[in-house]
Amino acid sequence: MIYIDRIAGIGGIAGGVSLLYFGSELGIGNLRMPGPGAWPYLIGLTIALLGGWFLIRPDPTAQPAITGKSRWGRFILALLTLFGYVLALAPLGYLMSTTLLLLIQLRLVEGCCWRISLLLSLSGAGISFIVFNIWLKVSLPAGIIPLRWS
Amino acid sequence: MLGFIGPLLGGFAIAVTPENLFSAFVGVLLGTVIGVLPGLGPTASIALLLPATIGMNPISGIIMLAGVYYGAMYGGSTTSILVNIPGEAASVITCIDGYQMAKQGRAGPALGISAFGSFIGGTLGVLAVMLISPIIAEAAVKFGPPERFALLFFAFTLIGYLAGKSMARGLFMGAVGLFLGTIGIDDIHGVDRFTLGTLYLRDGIGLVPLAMGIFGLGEILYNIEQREAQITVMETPKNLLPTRQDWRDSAAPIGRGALLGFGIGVLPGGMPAISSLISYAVEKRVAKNPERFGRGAIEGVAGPETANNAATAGGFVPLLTLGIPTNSVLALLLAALMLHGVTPGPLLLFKYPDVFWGTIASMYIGNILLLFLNLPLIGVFVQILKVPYRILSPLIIMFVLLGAYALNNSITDVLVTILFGLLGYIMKRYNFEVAPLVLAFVLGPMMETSFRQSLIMSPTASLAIFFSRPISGTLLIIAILVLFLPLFRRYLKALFQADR
Repeated sequence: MIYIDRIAGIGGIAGGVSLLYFGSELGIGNLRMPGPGAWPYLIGLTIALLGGWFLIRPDPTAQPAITGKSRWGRFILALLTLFGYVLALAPLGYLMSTTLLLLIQLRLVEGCCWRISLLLSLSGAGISFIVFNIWLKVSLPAGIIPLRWS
Repeated sequence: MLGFIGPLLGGFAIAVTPENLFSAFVGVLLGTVIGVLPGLGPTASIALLLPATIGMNPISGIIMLAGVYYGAMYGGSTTSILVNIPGEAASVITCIDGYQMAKQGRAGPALGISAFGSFIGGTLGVLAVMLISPIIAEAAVKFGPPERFALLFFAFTLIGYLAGKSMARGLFMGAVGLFLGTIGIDDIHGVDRFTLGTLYLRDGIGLVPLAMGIFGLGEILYNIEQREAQITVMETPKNLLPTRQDWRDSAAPIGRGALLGFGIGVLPGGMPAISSLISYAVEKRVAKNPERFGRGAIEGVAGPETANNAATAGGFVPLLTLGIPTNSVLALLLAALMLHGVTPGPLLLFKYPDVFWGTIASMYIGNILLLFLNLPLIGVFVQILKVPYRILSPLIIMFVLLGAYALNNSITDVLVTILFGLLGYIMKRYNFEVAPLVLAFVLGPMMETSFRQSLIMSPTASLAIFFSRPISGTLLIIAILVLFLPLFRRYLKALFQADR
């Protein structure tokens, strides 16, 4: 895991130096009246120093938390679905976008059968809509299905 | 000394109203279920439930969320004992002897002593919170900005020290959390900081999207990428009552666990998981036959289970009296209090006595509820364990995203939650502790304000103000010692090896 510490070290130094720059741009002020950049400046210094520490003394004993075979395909699909959900929420509305989200997660990411995937996605989206929109009065995006009971 | 009896009775009057009693019941029940289910800890669950408490009155909301926290500590032991998988971090140590007891056909006494130990630890812990909190709050009222800064700085260093194996990693994540806390409008000068010109970031990043993303979504993404083996669940044990000999063996570990757990819980960074670990080490050291540990010693279940519940109660002392959360779950409880317009700190006890004493009283009731829930419903919890994770995980994702949206009716909050989910996944996969980031994110703005106020009020315009006052000076010196302790230890070790 030495490489992870080194990457964190490089990232830390880069991030820390950027904060030093932006902190001084905001204005560090003085000890009588510290400016808005003083605190970010101190944080930048801390991050840069710790980044340097990781580069000089990476931890050779640290291991990534890997319990089995990585499932990258499903992971990327899950992530893409999440970002897609953000894009779809306003135009498609809560009910349709959430049903699609659940269907993809259950069927394609988790590998459940079509019957269970359909049943759970429709009931999950429906029940959560009833609880949040009707009971808790949360205004959920209506999209192309303008359902409003509240 | 007995001045607390009146307010406590008032607290009970608040806690037993149907609404608050129902909140306590729902909280401890949900907490137990969450503790039973591996992969969904109390932090993620409280983050998920936070938006749901907005419509409730503040006391009911806090009672419910506190119930989730200590309920999870009870529930976590069930999976440790029956399936050798801890429901949450504080129950990791219970796996060692609890699972061995179960394999020897003694799952019942292991679960029983765990429930009784949790009850005793939790109840004694609440009693201590009640006795100590007013004293600390009275002293803390006299704190000025330098003392507040020193206390927060001390908390920050301890969090880095106690959070994981590597202090450098803990501090690094803490510093990232401090940075995230600076985003938004600067309170003193009214200047935008790191807002990237967006309106959304001017209010700063919300704790709820951050916590739900890092803890909830991060955990799920990790489980999607790294699916663990299918869980094999043991049958529900019939007799849950420990024998007379079990009680004899467990009495002293329960007593020690309660004391130790509470003491650790009060410290910043003193998470229940650490208290159970230390309790186990102590029990093994004082045992007449330490070789029994790891082979089904009931002391190895009784001590740690008592300690983690006492630590859970102990954490409420700094939260309620100083406004300092000592772990990530309490950071979310702090956020919950603030969402309801209640500012935790020394004045909470005097300005909102109903919140303070109502919560304390509800914790007594919650502990009794848990004892009655855990023993008879153990069969139900075993059935919950059999629900496949592949069905639970999409539903949890839905609640995370829905919770993020419901807070401000904002799709940007959903996006921010997903981005923090990705960060949480990376941190989990590469063993960077998440808790220091979240805690520093909460403590950071308070630290900055105290730091700047201290300098503004300093007569000599120097950092000497922090060291010239006895409380702040002492705290800062201790914090600096804690910070350099690992380096000093390493230096001594090298010196010792060179001598040999």
